[in-house]
Amino acid sequence: MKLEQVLDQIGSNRRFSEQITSWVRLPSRPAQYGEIPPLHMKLCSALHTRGIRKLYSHQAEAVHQVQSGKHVVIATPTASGKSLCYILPIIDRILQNPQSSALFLFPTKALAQDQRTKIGQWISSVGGGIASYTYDGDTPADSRRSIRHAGQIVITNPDMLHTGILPHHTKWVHLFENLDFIVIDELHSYRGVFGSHVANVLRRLQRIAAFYGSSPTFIASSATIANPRELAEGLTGRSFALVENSGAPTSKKHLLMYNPPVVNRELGIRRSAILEATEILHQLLANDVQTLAFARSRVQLEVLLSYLRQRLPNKVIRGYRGGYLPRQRREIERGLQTGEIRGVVATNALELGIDIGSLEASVLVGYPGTIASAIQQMGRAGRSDCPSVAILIASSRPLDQHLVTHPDYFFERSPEHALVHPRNLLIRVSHLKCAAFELPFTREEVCHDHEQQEILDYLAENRVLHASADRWHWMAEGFPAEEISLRSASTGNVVIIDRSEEKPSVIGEVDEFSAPMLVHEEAIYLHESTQYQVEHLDLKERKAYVRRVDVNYYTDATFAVETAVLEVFRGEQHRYSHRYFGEVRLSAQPTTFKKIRFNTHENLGWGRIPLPPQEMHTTAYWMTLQESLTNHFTDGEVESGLMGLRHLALEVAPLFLSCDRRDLYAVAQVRSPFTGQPTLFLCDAYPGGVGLGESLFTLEDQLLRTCIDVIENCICSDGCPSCVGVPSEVGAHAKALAFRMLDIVMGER
Amino acid sequence: MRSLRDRLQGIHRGARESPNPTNGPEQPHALPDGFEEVITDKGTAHVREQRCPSSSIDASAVRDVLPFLLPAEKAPYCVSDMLFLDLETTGLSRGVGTVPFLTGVAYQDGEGIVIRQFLLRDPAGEPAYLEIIAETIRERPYLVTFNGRSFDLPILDARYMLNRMARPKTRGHYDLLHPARRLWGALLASCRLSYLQEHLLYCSRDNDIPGSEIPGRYFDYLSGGPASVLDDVIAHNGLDLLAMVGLIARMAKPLQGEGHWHEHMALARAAADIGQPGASATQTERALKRAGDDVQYFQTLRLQADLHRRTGGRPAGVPTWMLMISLVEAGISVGSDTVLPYIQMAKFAEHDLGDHGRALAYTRRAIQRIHASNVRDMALLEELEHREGRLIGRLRRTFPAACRCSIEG
Ligand SMILES: [Zn+2]
Repeated sequence: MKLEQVLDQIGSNRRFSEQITSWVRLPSRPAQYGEIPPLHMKLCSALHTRGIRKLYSHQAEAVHQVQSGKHVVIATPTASGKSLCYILPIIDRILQNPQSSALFLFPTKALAQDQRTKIGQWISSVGGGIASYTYDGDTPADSRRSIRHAGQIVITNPDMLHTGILPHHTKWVHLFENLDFIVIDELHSYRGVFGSHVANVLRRLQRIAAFYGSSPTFIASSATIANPRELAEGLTGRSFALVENSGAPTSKKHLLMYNPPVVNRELGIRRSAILEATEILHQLLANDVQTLAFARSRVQLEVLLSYLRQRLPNKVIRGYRGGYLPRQRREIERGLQTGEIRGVVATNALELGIDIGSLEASVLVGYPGTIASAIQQMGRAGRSDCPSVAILIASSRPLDQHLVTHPDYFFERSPEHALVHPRNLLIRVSHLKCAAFELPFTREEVCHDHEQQEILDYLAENRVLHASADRWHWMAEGFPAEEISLRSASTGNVVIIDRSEEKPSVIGEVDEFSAPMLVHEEAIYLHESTQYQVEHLDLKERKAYVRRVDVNYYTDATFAVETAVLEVFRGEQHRYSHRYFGEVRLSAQPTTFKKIRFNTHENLGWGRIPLPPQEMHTTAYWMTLQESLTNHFTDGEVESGLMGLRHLALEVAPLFLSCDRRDLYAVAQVRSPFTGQPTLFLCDAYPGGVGLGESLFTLEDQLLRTCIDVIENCICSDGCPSCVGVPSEVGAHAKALAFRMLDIVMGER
Repeated sequence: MRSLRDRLQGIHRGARESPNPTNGPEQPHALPDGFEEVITDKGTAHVREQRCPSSSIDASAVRDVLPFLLPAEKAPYCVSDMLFLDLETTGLSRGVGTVPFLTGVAYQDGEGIVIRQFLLRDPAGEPAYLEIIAETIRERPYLVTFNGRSFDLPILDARYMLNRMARPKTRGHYDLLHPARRLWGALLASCRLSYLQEHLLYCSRDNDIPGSEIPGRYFDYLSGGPASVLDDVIAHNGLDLLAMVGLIARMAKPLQGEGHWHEHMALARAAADIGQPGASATQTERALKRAGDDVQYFQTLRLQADLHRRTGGRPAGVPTWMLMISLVEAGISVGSDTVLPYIQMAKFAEHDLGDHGRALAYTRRAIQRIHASNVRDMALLEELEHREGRLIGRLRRTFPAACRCSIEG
């Protein structure tokens, strides 16, 4: 049966149609072309051989901008041919000048390998003669030498650049003396702590390039986010030209938002997304629609897979878990192409740019956490001329419930801001050490940056640097780059050690502050869609020992968090509420944890966390409710409303920040010692902050409006986990009270 | 409101305490004893020179032993072109931030060994420091180091690059670490230079500063500590240089007939590798005399047979293989490789004598040896069984009926 017939069938079946909250039909759009800019003869004939007579308009524009010497960021949808935007001008330049070299950065090794194949094909189609290499942790020692001496195109990741290339730059003279381009693919993945680290690594990179006399052009490509240009500029410190109007053709696409049926209206409980997903997937697969489903965890994936295989024994349905080797990926890719494989159930591991071919339908079992991810996953369907469908099945999380009635987030403008804060002191100091190790700082170099001067002087006083008449020299033992991991937070991280295998291995790190909350004993720690249970937490040694498990719940720690305002950076006073952005001291005392069942959020048990309180300094946004507002409520009502607001705001805020709920701490104070008023704090969970607090301060209106929208649309009567939290925790009338408070606050704006 | 400094202190826990920085960067640090200023094109450098009239480079050792052990390196015309070099650095990492603050060199002139040491008095003076080192290397371009290939020279290269200076060209480089490992790796607990010096040259380093303390001494000096904090480091560097000079002479000792079994074996192999069978034979003869037990004796025989085979063809190895077989059959414990002489004899019987019956007999004895041993190399067993089958096939074709009973027995 054709896809659209199957969709008609689903649409006319009341079992499904009543749950479809919105059905958007996006028409097909023809390609828009631009002229091929002047390119080297060999490249022109390579394009010709491939049957490319014209470029899509965004590709032509990007190449033109690069050729005119501008830094360019390309933010067009998945599968719009973004890589050609950098491959063309770079190969062109190398053909003109064989000395020229380029550095490609991909966030993961798998992605780098995929892209290398693509680049290699272009190189051979211009007759070869261009050396391209992947330089990462897997590169054998004996080939490293030849890469350093001969590579015109070096493909690597930020971590390797940070520890393997920059601190050894004298061995990379050829690359740095001729560095004309730096490609940053998947730009949007460089946000938060990781992005703030990478921003500093890129500053170090430019400093070394300048030492060797080159000033490279950046070409970045990003998924659709609200602020691609701002992000590119924040990461590199350069001004960018933005290319965002895609000229790639799109086929007809159906976008379905699906909310599982209500089981208990009063308590706001709906049927589980996973059960609904099996029904819908069954409909699609039984009618022979090739389908890709995204589960939120490995456990969900296994449940879905076994259920579907049981019901459809004649169909080949494959699972795609994290960490698959290229060979396994290609096998799935081939199976999909030949049509032998009819369905794939994947975790988020599949999302990042990796191409396993195009399918007719993509089903998202729950919102993946960011709009960019959701759009990438939806984009997995519909790469050919045929119509396709993407279906989002909402879980009971507040954001899922909000998005299921707002499909426009997925095809109009994304609300998501990817944020970096390169000046975070902790991160900055770490990278200034690395930079001094790589090259002494001259006084002239830092004369315009007072803060940097002060940091360098401080490091000199502490005998990390040595100040001579006009320079600061690295003068300490050790290798500073190895002491900092880009993927996680501060010094003094707690290392997570997996003891499942005979040989224990480090699988991640969490910062000291969050450790008691995230890796207390018995906690379930999720890493690359695999669950681990914490067996032992040794705070003194900063080690958490975990073991792989397969359980149907996650854990959620309860902790008493307190904040004290240290400094106000910005403030704005309205009649009923004030908003601020500033620095706070956050202290957290973990108390208990709950085991919560996936999907149903049923409480399966709890335990104590016997650990000491943790403290950190960070940045925060806070909102105070003024007397003009609180006058309308009793003290108890204010407390209840504020508690509800705390629950809701914490769930909703990630929509604007492209972050996880765990990147923020929410604190409600009925009478704040600092403001003297009822106050709601949303604090950056990383010491010193990575820009979330400031962003929330600017986006407050949007945040509060969305909160109102969620409450208005929630089916429960007096509060539930999908809006302000359950009445037993936040009070009997929290839903109504929070709504009234927000209504008054927003009424004047 | 918290100042930047308060916030820095907040995040910079565990930083080293600054010991009264009496000496600011403006005042130059006092020089350790014996150092003098030298003017170069790039500024003032600081050098100390010492003479050791009683020591000298063993020229015959250089001529005799180094070509065996480091055959790829170009030999100097004259030992006075050799420059022993050793760095003291601010750390062991090989990144560009590691600074060689003290560079020691040793060479020989008419009156004996001269030790010259260059001190980086202040990081700002690095160009002059590197310039005078470069001049020194240009005068004597055959370097001798201990682990210089992967440590000292890359570090120096990085410093020249960082200061945008051309690195001095060298003509040859003897890195003594690799030959030291070859000669003594199996003999001694460690191949660190100071350990070799104590155990092979019998030169005590009791008062030597531990390597891990060296960077700290320089940091103390830079932040205003007295010049004497460097004395131990300077002495340590001088000892390292003399150790290298002594080590070359010590390497040649087994050539004069007085070595350990390990040393003779290493030299025999080295000579064989560069195609000097005569020298190799001399060394195996000596090794046979110095073998400490049956296992070492057997291993020496194996090497000897191998050398004979390489020079005189398979028949030349036969007497030694027969001797090895008699040792094995006498039940003497000879370690691994007991089947090797049988295999060689089987090959000899098959290919040189054309005696397939004898070849089969040796092959079967080899298989029995493997079955009798508690360590079983399955790949080897398979190979032998394959050979056995092939030989049986040959014999059948040659003697269709007559030999059946004996073949299958
Ligand atoms: Zn609700």
